Amino acid sequence: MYQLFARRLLVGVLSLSLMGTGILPAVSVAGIIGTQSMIEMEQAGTDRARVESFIDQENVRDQMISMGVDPAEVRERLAALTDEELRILNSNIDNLPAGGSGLLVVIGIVFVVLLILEVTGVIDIFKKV
Amino acid sequence: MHTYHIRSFGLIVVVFLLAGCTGSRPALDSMLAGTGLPASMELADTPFFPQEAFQCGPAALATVLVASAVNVTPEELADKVYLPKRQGSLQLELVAASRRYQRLPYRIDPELPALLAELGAGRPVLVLQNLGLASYPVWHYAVVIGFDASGNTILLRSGDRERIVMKTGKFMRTWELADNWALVTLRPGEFPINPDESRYLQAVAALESAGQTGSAINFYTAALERWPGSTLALFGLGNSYYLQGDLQLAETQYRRLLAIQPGNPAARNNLAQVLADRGCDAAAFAEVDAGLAIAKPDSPIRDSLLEIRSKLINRPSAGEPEAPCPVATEFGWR
Repeated sequence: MYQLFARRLLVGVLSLSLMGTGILPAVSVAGIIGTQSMIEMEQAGTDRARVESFIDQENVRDQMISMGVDPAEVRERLAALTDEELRILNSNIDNLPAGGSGLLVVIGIVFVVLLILEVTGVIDIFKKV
Repeated sequence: MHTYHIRSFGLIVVVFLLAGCTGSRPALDSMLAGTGLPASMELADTPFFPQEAFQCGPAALATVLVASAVNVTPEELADKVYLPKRQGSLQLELVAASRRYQRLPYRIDPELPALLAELGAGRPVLVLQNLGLASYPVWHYAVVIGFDASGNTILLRSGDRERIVMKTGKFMRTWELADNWALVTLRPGEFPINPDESRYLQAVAALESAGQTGSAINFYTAALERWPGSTLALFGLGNSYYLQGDLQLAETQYRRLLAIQPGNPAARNNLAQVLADRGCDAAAFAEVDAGLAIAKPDSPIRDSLLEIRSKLINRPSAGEPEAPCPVATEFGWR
């Protein structure tokens, strides 16, 4: 009984704190089993605790803001992600491929290649430098 | 002699860097054989948004979204996908942003024939490429708009270039280094060539959970025409109607599902909740009991069913329901 109360209190406090930060958890309406939960249950045979996905969301929010995303945009960006996607971002936002290229980076690689060729004497285009 | 060795070393390094030391690849024409696709094609109407610094994500996403009839600009998308510190955009965020425009982001099968087939259906394809090395990646988004078997080339909108003609081998190398990731953004009722039912429906469920319930209803409805017995589509459609407050239509879907799969405790749970919301207490109790009889011990569905029951017991008796409730007959609840 006490444990149940403590758990409800934790969920309540987390919910309130999330409301305070402007993030509303994208949980299903009380009473019905959400489609995503159903898929997760079918795939994993278990249901992840809701509290855990709140925490993913909190962490990703903090990381995004520290990575320079406008805090006003973060809430809607998070709302468009599924719990599973939030979990992936939470554990790996620093290392997932971030397409941005950097045409400069490509030019840099070409330069390095030319430099190798120059130094090893295959080509001779930097002679005048 | 010494100079000769250094020169050879330089050549070898360069050849490895440029060629990525991969084996030979099938040419385009052998891939196209028997597919019914033309030897060359180009979706020339595909819009072009020259990329600003590091903004190939927003530019490429805008390209495919506009091609699927969304009115959007890369500038508008930058706020939704760009991660300044990473100087780029993550795949997951491109996927998530598509949902905000009521389009279904669907990752196609990771192989060139699947990509060519999408082009054949008139859809430009957003791809991730690694223009660098496996150990020193340079991630880049581009949009494939066509191919030409005679030159064995792939056509792309890429970066600040409106039309890049890239050798198929080079394209495949850069694409393989990015796990052959390719995305289409589908309109309601639109399917990729050769769709994977489960992947498609999971994409719709994600759209639903992103709050796009209205468009999720359109996608589920189309999916049910294609896969009439899909219990996941029925479940999601019922939930979407429920989230929109349409209890009667939600109830219809859960009943259709239970007619196919009577032992689905989640559908029993949701039907019980709809009936409770409608004020049909007796029918709701019956669904709770049917659900409890099949729910696994300690499952969240059992908890949910018990909660519905305790709320039913504890609430003041509801007034007259707006629509007639199901009644018990010798054939079950009708």
